[in-house]
Amino acid sequence: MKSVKIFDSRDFPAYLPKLNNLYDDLFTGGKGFRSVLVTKVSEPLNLDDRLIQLLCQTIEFIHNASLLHDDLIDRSQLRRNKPAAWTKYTPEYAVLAGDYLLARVMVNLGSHGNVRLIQLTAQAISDLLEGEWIQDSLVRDFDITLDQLDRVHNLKTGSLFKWCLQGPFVAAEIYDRDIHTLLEECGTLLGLLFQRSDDLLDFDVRNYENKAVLGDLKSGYLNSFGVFLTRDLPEEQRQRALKAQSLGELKSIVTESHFESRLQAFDRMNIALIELYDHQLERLRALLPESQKPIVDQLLPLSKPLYWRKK
Amino acid sequence: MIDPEVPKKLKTLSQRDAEFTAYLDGSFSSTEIAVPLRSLNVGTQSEEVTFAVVKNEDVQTPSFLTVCRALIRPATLIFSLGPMAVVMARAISIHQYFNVFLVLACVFGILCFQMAVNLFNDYGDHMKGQDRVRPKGGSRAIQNGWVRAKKVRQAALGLTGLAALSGIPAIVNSPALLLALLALVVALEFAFQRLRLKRRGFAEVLAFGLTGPLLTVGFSWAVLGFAGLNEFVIGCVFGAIALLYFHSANFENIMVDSQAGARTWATRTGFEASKTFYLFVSGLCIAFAAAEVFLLERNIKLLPLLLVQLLVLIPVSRRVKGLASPLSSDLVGLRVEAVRLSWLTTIAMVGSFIWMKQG
Repeated sequence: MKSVKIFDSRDFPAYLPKLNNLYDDLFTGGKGFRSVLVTKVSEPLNLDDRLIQLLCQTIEFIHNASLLHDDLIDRSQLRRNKPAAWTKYTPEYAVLAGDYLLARVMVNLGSHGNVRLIQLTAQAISDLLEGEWIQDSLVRDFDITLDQLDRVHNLKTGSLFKWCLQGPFVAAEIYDRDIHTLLEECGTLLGLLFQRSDDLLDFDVRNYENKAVLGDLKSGYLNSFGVFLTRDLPEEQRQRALKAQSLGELKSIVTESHFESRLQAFDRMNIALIELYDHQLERLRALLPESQKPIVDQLLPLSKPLYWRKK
Repeated sequence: MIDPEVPKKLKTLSQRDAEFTAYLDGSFSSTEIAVPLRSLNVGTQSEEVTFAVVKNEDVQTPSFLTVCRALIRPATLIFSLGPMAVVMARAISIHQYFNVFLVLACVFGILCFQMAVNLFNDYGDHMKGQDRVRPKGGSRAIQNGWVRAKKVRQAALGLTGLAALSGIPAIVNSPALLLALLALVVALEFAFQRLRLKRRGFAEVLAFGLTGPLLTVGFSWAVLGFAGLNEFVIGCVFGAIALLYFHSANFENIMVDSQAGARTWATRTGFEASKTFYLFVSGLCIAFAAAEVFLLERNIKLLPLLLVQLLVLIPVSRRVKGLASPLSSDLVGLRVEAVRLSWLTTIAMVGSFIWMKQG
């Protein structure tokens, strides 16, 4: 797979040094998973390198714009183990830098000229913002259910994964409705798996990247595993668990054995999602012409490392 | 429910497939059950559903009674039982003659009819997809694989037959016949959804009429031989509460329905207008109760009716006014509040009429 350079300071005006510095900080250290996904789909479609570069840049710009805004909304101090942009460059600059990235996406896609690609991208941005908006309105709502969170995550996280799978097909001018229904569904499932796995990191489960623990809960956001862990507890115990200040305290309140059994049940539920993802990909294989079938082989192994966080 | 570790095969069918309906209604096999996992493009020609197909014995089905309770939703039977109980309590308070056998036959028939509508509704919403995309839509008995959709439909038809038989003594030579026929038409519409009245946002209007003035006036005609303005307004009180219930159900699902393209009153008017509509209907409940107390009965002993409306609806309305998100958990319990209000209204009115008789 070819490596793709997402950020190049020459893409942005040289007379805005602060903006360039901000982006330099922002883009360094990211895993670029979404652009890897785009590349895996694009190459078997025989898209030319410049188009693949445009698609990768598009998805990473949108993702990073959402991070700039997200950190400010959540008042997160750190991003990729560095000070978040709003703390280093002021909240105003963080907002403007995020907006600027989204504008660049539209300028770049506009130059390419595929209207349906612009439409798909605008829809993804719109869904992402809807998800952000709703998620923010759920802070301190500790009676939220897993179904409701899945809806938010489908908008917030799923929208970009859907774009990663559908974008290259639209760029290749493949508009078959059945294919796009399946790509959208696979993107939804990948987004859900990614988000649920990310939510586990907050409880220090498979936290190989050493992300901050219990950050969501402390900032008043009950994530998917939080809901799953606490939903069957007696009310008094649940209330104490929701106020826990450390993972040790949380585990002592809910008991270690309850934590482990809920984790196993959570994993089983997500294994069922992985099976569903595999099933939908096999259906996709049946619809694709021979030359494009390798896309399925590229996508099949993705769900497991995405959920289990293995390299 | 299916245990994630139970062996299952996944099968996706689209509306174009010949087996689509058989898998949806459960008639495809007698030894296996198809549990719908994901429904895409619901309500369109390209709808497709992915089923987990498992052996009958691999579905964790609760007891028969639990399944029946889930399907029938006994707490909601108060929407028809309440108005009838109040009409009878008032008849007793004014020393009105009635035939006990006829009353029992009517009450039994109408309860069977409401249970049939609940079941038809479950069947119809499953087949059309609404309950497959709404995570808490309907009783969940079909979507959990506890019972096949075709069995639910058969049970609904059986209950409709029972309701019709029970109603025969009451509707012979009575204007209630017309109302009974109207109710039957509505039940059939819930079952087959030919006119798509529900999808067009008329569920609330139907609920208001069938559990409100149409019910009280028809019931009074059938068992007492007359119906006046009092029965009509009593019906309006209960109809408004049922309207609150149905609007709450649609409001609760405003986001899911919008994304699935379903047209309900809530999705058509939007989030803020739905809040306003909830407050408006709450106001209607209070206004009808006040009219019954101060304009029609003009009896202080009926004040508990008004107090119940105020005590339940004021805090709930405050909660609704403060709603900021279509996924807020504060939105989830609104339906339960409407059921509670219907029970309390029944108790308050029956108690008040008995008190009036004694006084």
